[in-house]
Amino acid sequence: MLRDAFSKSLRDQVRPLVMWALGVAFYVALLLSIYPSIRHSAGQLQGYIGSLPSAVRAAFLGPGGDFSSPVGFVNVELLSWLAPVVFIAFAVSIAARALAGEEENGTLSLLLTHTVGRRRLVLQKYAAMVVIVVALGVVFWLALLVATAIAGTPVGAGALAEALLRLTLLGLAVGSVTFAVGGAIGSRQAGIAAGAGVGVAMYLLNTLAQMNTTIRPFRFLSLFHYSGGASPLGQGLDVVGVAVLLATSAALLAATLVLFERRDVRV
Amino acid sequence: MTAAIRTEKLTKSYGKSRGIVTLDLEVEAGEVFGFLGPNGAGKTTTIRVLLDLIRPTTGRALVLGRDSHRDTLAIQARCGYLPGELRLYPNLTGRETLRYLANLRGGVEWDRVDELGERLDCDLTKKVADLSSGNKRKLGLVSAFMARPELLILDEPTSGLDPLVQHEFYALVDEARDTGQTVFLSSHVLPEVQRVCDRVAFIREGELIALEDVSSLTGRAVREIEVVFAEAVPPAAFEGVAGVTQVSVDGKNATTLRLTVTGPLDAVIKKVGEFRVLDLTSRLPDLEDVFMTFYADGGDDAA
Repeated sequence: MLRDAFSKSLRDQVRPLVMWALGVAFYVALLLSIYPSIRHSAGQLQGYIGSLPSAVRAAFLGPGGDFSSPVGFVNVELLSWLAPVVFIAFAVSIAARALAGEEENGTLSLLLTHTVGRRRLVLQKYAAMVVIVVALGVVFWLALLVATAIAGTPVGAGALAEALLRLTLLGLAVGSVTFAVGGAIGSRQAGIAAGAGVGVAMYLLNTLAQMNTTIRPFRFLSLFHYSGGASPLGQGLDVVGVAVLLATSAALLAATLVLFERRDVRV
Repeated sequence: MTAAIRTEKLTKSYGKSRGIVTLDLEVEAGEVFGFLGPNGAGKTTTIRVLLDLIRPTTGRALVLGRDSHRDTLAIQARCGYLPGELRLYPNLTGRETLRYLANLRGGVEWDRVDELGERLDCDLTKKVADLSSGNKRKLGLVSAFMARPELLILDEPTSGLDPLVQHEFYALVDEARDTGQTVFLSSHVLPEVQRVCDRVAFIREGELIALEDVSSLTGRAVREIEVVFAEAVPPAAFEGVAGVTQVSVDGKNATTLRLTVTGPLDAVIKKVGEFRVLDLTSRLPDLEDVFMTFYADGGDDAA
């Protein structure tokens, strides 16, 4: 695992990946175990939900706003806000450690003077981040697949995969902000602040845009718009959305290559 | 032959003052070159420009005949580097650290790593986090020497090393010279430079103030000589003797003579020999004195 910067980075992220994966699996299991009891009181719940303003319902529960179906339940309880937070937080934490982490630890000089090359280092660090975040996506998918099957409420492997692909790409896009800022400035904190700031701002933009017609035209600026918003599950594969998320990440990676190449490495 | 290192009007500005100023430096292939100056003089800055970790404000540096910025990778493949402030991965053992660095670099024979580790008395089984700074430094030295690079760039190589390991390090530098490798080392430890280097450059506040052969430096050194005579001597007898710059007499009955002498001692010794001598001490010339003279007069003495 010490062959190059890519494998070394993977090795370093195994422990955080396992911790996050355990957390995800535990939470999914917990939620799905209470689903049967929720379904029994679905009538009451649905009545309450029906009394909410339709805009609020759309914003937080998705277009259907259906709490009682397995798809609606998974959307509301997991994929509308928790899963994006998990993917973004995980990707941001890994991205912050990638370039800025090596620099703050003082090991960046060592890497660069052992004929790694700046461009290659950026690409290897980025590739490691992609692999690890995708791995969390796979874990999330498996956990949901198993849990929904056990709860007797199968949602469909394909539909789940589509939703988690979009959420994984959302995490990577926001993580790329952290990766770029961290690499360009050499500060983990600046990278985390940028990623978290962008994540929160885009979430708010997308959520408010569903309730407010003035903001609605600007919805296209939010990455959440492309990851499925409040109901990633059950929308089918949105090719445009996936493309926008991928293009955002690619553009940020390209920016990192340029900015990281230019700057002075700190001692 | 192409110079191993050549800087052309190299300048690196940080805000107002620090950095380096129009530095012109040439290190010949195969020599051991000392880069001497107090902390903050710009030694590390220069080295980091050579390795393309930072970019010059103006001017350029050629390393092994290639532009430090354009051909970074080609240069680094032929260079070994020890950073002044070495930071390693705390959770790796010494062996894992060297394995990783050797893999990154490529072309390292593991036998050589073992040999260096043994000679420098490295503990490769402990985690880096549990190593003292001297022991970490040894790992850095192994990584700099392991690929038998054409050019070794060592920033304060012996700081924190115990004397035995320092001795082994000097042996490694001598071997490097014997096999035709070039060594560029920075230091503020003067006897060290005197011990291992062929030539030395003095740098102060980012400017090169002198460049000398170590041997000629020693020849031009300023010495203080103290002679105790059996009877009083007339100071005037020593004024005007070749090399003597200052004369004073004191002690009981004016029998102790103090001389400040520059250069060869021959004329002085012959003059002293005309009187009955009880004792003679000469403070050995060390680089520090020379260094201080250069600094005191702002480098007017520079060749």
